[in-house]
Amino acid sequence: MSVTKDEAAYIAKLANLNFSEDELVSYTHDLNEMLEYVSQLQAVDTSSVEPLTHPISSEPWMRRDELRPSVSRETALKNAPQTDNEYFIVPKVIKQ
Amino acid sequence: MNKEYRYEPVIGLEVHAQLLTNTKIFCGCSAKFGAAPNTNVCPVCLGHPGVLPVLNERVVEFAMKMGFAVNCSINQKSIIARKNYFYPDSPKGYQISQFELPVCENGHVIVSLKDKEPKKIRIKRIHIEEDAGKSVHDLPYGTGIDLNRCGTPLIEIVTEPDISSAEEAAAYMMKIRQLVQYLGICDGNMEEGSLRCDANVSIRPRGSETLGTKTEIKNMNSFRNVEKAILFEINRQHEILEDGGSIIQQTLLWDADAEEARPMRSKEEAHDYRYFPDPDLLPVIISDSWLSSVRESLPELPASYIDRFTNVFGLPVYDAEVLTQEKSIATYFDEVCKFTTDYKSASNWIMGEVMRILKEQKIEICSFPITAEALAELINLCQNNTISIKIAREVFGYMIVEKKTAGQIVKEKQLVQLSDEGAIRTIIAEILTKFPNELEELKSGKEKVFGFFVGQIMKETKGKANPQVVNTVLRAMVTEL
Repeated sequence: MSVTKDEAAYIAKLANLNFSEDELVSYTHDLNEMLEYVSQLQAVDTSSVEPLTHPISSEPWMRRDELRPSVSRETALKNAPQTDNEYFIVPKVIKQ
Repeated sequence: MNKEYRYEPVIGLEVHAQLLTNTKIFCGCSAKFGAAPNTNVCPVCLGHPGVLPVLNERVVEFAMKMGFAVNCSINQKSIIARKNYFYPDSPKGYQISQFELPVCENGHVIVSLKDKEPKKIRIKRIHIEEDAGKSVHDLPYGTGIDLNRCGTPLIEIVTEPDISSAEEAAAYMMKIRQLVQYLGICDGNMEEGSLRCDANVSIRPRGSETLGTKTEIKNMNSFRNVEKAILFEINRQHEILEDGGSIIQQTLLWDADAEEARPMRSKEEAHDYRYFPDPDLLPVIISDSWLSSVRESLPELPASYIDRFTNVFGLPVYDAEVLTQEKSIATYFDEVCKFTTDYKSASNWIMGEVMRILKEQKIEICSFPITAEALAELINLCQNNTISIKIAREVFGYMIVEKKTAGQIVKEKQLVQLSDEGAIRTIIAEILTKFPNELEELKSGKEKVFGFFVGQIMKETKGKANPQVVNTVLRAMVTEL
């Protein structure tokens, strides 16, 4: 399995990454090397193996529906690049 | 041929219901609506790195309840997945949801439309997921993000494309609202967004097996809007196909003010969610004992109420359906019937006067001033002929304003019905002498005048005379003359 440069560009776009043309060529190359390495696994016959979603099997841990203290708004907003002390502020999302 | 007959609509709905849990789905922050912005948040729902989500068991319980209510099979092992997309109100860059194995699958509901055969609508799946935050667009300096809602629990209920009209879609929505309210898992308020609906709409030539290209409509925030938006889209697609055009697959936003659906920008709908199992969350395992205890804890559902109201109380199906539309009304009726045996009158009072007041005063039955027991007392006063139905309506009005019992009001205002034949006879005799001309007419067989005399008698007794006794006595006296 391998990806084309266009496919790599599409994946980058979905991840909100901007690459220069040179970077794109280089990352496409790297990505394909990784895919090739991993593709060795394709040699194993897994037709009778159930898909594994999690590498560990244990009883799932669930929480009771009980309140725990939230953090203060001041703390919540502390690391944000921009706030108005009430909301997180992001660049205007264009309205429909 | 009419275009309505040339094509048939094929509609599927995705309904999101906000669950009435105390806390969010993966952390202990309050899930309550209406708090000051960014005060119900913690590192988990803020999407900080290194935190671990822990599933709220009540979310799974509520999903199971809905599953049972719509005849689903419950998957005792289900997988939690990440749905990847970027939007400012989702700080992690993905929504925690379910993809391959949801909690519930393969159910159905039956919806009844007036004058039509009951219709079965299959439910493909019900899964659990987290909600996103809210964006505030009217700030001058940017878009404000409030993450209080981020991480609050939802179930998404997805139908098969079994719905074939806008009317059916609205009826299905009402059915879902009725069920979530009976189960107590969601308040069902569409206007406030605790119940939301997206519709997939396509049309195809009648009789065809292949599906046409579908569009998705979002942003319909009332039952009326669901119906209007889907009807709009069906008509739009009809026109395009009639003109020889073809439908473009796209997402439309319903504008309730303009009453039209407008396409979203194609950029916003480049969906490629790359779902994968969330490594932070183990599969959800539902034990046999949990499953059966939830099944046993199910409250009485509308179908059972309807069954009881028709078979035990002998109500017409129509009455039973009206009374069970909202659980609070159904339980009020049930309560009234503990104190009276005149069930049909109880139904009439609730469907008529009570619901009229609720509508006029825009209140819920829980804030209605007349208790079930007090209404039953009024009904009993009618049933045992202490007061006439006409006076009862008057008493009902006083009960609302004065907050006294029917018995007190009847006593204070001296409204007891006059049924004594002798007394009525005396009153009639007086009135007959007052109107000699009309009496002559009545004697000569003019039946219209009979009503005139009844009216005069009622006027004289301020409506308190028992109308049946008045009729009998008057008829007898006229014949005697």
